[in-house]
Amino acid sequence: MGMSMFEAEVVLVSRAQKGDRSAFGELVQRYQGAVVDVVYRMCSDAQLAQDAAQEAFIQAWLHLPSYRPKSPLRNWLYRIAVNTAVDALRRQAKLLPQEIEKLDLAALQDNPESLLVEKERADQVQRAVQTLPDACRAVLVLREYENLSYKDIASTLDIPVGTVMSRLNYARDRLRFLLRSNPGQREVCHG
Amino acid sequence: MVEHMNQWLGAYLDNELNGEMQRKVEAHLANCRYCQAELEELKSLSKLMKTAANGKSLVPDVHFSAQVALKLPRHQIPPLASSATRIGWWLLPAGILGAWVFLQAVQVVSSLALAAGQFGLISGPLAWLFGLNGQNLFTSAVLSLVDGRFGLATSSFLAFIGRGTGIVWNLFILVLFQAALALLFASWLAVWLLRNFPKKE
Repeated sequence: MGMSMFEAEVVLVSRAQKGDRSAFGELVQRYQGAVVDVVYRMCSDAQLAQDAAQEAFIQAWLHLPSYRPKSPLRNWLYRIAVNTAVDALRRQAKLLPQEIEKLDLAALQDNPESLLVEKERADQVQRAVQTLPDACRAVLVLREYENLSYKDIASTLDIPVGTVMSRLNYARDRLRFLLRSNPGQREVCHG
Repeated sequence: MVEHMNQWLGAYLDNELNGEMQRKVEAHLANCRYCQAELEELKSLSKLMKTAANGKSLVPDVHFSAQVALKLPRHQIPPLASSATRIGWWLLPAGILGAWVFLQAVQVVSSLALAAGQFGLISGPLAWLFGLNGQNLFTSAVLSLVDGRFGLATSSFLAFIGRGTGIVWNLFILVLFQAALALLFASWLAVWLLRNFPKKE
């Protein structure tokens, strides 16, 4: 009977921890999409993301002997990817994105034709995400784009679940403020 | 005044609340238009982010894994605990050797001092250097330490074997310490051999 995906991964990790490059190559093939995606969502620059994702895998290779399979390899790689992306951005000293055009969030759900301007909105959202502090952006990216649970995010970033929740709240509030057409519209209590 | 539950709405949307809090938020949402609107906005934001992600995604370069493979350093970084263990592992025989050299040096110096005392070369304020009852200084120090620490039982044992001369005592202590060091070294060597040359199946 063949091995499950998880068992096969454990074997690959164990071989790679002993310096087997071909085993590590298979792990790279398996996770390159996820790592590139996280790095890209963190830094929003395609070329920078490709380079930083490669750097993330090199860091993973260097530190793989320290990895203990008590947490999933994917989450461990995510942590390295987030840190590498933040470092790459700092090195690059990227200029802050241009002013973000306001969007009417409330109108979006009832407005299917808005898909026509999807690309433009994607740019706006990405620019808005880029203005978030690194720590909040990391939590938001892992939740919204990678669909990690709060517990997984907490273990990936080595922070308490309560911190995950507060950073996520801050990130969402900030995004809503940046993208909303009338930021002050809900100041009044209707409850 | 109604207290809103804004801080829980994100977790509610993400289905991350436990049963009781989930019910509280649901009950609150049923009556609070403000929080309903907040929740709708959060939903819209989440939807917008996902749509934006689909419209703007990045796939790895076709040569991505090959480029990573080319850049991989030859060696990996050993885990911190393992480095510490490895250093400790080699410090052990070095420590045993150091202890043996120290023991030999102390024995030689003590014996010389004893001989010098017996020939009357050392006297007065330096008399403590040649020990007691023909035992050299090291033997005297070890015996008084053991006797002081383990009390009556040790005293009886010492009285049983200790009627001999100082030379017997000197030899006994020397052999005892050397045997202890040899045993430690042999144990270390055995473990090293087992680790480095494991039995073939």
